[in-house]
Amino acid sequence: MELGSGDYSDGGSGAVPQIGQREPGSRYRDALRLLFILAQGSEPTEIPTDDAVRIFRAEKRLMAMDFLVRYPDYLADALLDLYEQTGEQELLEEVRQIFLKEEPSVRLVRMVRWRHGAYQNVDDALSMLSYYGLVRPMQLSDGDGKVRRYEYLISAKALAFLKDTVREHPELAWYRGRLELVMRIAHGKSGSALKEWQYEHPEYGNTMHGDIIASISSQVEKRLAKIDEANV
Amino acid sequence: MKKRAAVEMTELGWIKAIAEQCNLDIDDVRKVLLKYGIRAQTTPPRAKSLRFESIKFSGVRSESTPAGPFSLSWLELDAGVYAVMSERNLRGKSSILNMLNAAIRGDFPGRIKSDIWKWLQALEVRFRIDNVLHRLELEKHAGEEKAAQGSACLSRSDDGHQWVTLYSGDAAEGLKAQTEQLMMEELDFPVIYAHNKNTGGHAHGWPLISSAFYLSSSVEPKALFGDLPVDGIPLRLLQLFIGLPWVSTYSAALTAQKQIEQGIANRPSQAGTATVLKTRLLEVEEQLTEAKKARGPDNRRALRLQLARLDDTIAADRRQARDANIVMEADETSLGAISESFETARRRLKLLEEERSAGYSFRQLSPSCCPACEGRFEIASTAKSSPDASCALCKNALPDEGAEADGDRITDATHLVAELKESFEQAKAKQKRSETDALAKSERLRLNMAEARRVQDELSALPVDPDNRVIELEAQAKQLQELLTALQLPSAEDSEAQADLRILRAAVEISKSSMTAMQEDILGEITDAVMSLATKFGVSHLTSMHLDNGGRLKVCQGGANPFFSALTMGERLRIKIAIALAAVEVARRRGHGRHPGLLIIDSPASEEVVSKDFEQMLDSVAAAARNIGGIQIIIGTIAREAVEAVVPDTHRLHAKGEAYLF
Repeated sequence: MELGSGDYSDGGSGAVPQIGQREPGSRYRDALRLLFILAQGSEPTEIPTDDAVRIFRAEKRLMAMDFLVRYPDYLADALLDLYEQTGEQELLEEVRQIFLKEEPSVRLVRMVRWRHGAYQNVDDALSMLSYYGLVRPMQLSDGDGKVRRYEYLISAKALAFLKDTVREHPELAWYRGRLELVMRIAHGKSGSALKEWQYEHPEYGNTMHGDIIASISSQVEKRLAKIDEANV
Repeated sequence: MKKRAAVEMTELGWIKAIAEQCNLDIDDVRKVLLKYGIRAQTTPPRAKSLRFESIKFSGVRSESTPAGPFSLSWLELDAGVYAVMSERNLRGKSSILNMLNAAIRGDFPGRIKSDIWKWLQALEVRFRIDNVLHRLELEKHAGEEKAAQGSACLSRSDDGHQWVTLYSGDAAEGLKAQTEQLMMEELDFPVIYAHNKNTGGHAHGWPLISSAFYLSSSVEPKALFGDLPVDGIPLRLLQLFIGLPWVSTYSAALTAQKQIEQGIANRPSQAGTATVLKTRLLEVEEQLTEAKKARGPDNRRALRLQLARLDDTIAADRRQARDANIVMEADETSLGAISESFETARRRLKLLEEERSAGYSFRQLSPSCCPACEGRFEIASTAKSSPDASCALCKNALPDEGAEADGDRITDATHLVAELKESFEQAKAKQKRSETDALAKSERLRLNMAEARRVQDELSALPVDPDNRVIELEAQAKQLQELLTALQLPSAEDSEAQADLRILRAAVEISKSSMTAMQEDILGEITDAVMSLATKFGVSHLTSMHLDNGGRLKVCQGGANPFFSALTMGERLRIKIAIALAAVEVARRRGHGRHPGLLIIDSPASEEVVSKDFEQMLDSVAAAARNIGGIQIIIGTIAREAVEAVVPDTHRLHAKGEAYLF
């Protein structure tokens, strides 16, 4: 298994080398983030067991949701889209907070564009989650034995773990809140639908394979300002 | 002294005197004098005689009583006194005298009464100039009034048989010009040049000279000599007739001098050009004043200055704005880099913190499954407590649980963030300042450019540029002034004329001094003669007379001192006759002079002349004629006994009783 996220997970170590500093690992955080996504993006299993109270479908959707967590500016843009559809003022406030807290800078965890869009090898993180008995990846194959897709079974232990973690480390509650926002977008949407929306952004769609997906922070901030201006 | 010097003056002496005065070579002076035909009159002129030999005419009277053809023939006239007489007035005396006068002047009809002229058909007058016979023949239709319609022939003969035609043509201007030339040439008269202050110089020739031969009571005798009392002409005539030495030289030099002076003064092209230029200069100067006024309080100039200043300012502004932008961009780049570092540091701190919290949480968990073999751990603590941290089943290395996020690293990262935050704030402030500066400088540039455009617009909105107009007009004025200056400088031609003029003026001066040296004596002689004659002619109470160098005759009469012009008409006529006779007499006595010895006196006996005086006058005239010799005097008068006593019968043309002379 390859721990591929190290190059990008800190979102900045590649761009500005920190001389004399060992690059910090991010496997616990990556695993925790992934677990939040899987937990909040999943649905109850038909027959719940301790090992499988909820199920997350599928890998593409996982990638699309991870992208929205790692790029707060794209999430903000998606929320503005939703605001324009629903007119929910709370959405605007959420977007304002994203920029107020400088999340597009501070919370950015850059991703590389691959053939199927933003992609991150999650094997290491899944191994850890699996090791602790929190998540069990399920390979679903066709009759010919070819892997069709992954599904992720989430244990009761995982849900309790998240609960305890947030209680013990309140600063990590941010992920829970963030996943609630992401779910406003991802709810009822397949991974493909979510990726399609992402491709609509030129900064995303035009990024060459292997290159880091650029931020759209300034555009979205302007969009917000425009909406705010129109609302005054 | 002067007199002797004048007498001794030779041609060479004269030229030398001129050359000395002009500080020139004798040859140069001689050339110029030759060029203008001025010759030294070293020998006094010899008088040439002019006298009539005959007059014949014919014509047809119409619209008159008596009517019908008429003719007259008066032949074999010679020196001496002749009389044309009639018992009654208006019998043709004046007409005969006037025809004679017209013939020698070549001027028809002249004084001939218009009816007589109209009736006249043929006229022949023969006269001798120094015994050379000349003949004037005139033919016209009776009734014709215009002289130009008549024909005239002027001819000369040595023997009265062979005639040489001198002129053949109309009886008007052609005849007049030819006659004048003939007389001036044959009688050796120079042109008299008289200068008038107002009208400039005038050349006088035969008409003026010949007017001195005709004296008439019917013409008001204005002048002592001739009929022009102005411009010193009577004196000039007198000088001419008495043959003063150097008079023709003086006259010729003066004529040339005046002509050149006139030529220079009136040089038409230059004078005209100068006038045009002067007029144009005045116009331009006027326009210039207007243009300067129109320019107003130098508004345009102020705008131009402002524009120039703005141009300089804009150039400086542009440099400053560019420099400020460079600083701003550098600051932006710097800010971007610091911002990037700051964000990276913050992300890293966040990562370290979250990694520590997440790690802490994960490590609280018991492993339940080997990530490698997926085998389930039944006893959680087994693996955890395994000293080599490997799976008890597969022996694969378990995830490093001991890799706890280093608290020191978080502290370092926190310090780094704090440092970068400060740095970022500083860079941000710096960038803000440079941005503000750059914006201010760009704004200043923009404002000054806008101002420059405004000034430019204001300038171009002004109607016509009076500045340009002023410059243009100043250039024109300067050019005109230069042209005028150039014109006023003597041209080569003028320089030559000026050089000639200097010589001519010297010639005039020297000739005049030679001439006037003798003049006083001669005038004294003439005065005495006039005094004597006038007294005989019955001018009463004469005590003395004086003819001055200006040609004015002062008559002392009964204690008063009137000039000639203040005398009565009769007295003036008698004095004129006396002067004429005196001039002839003095000239004859001195042996030189130009008076040709001809006098035509018409009706000298006007009402106030009493018979006795007339008789005395006539007697004196006849005596003078006899004494002088060679002169011819033709008198027209009412028949009186005195005439018969003085004028021999053969010298008389007498219409007796009611009869007409023709």
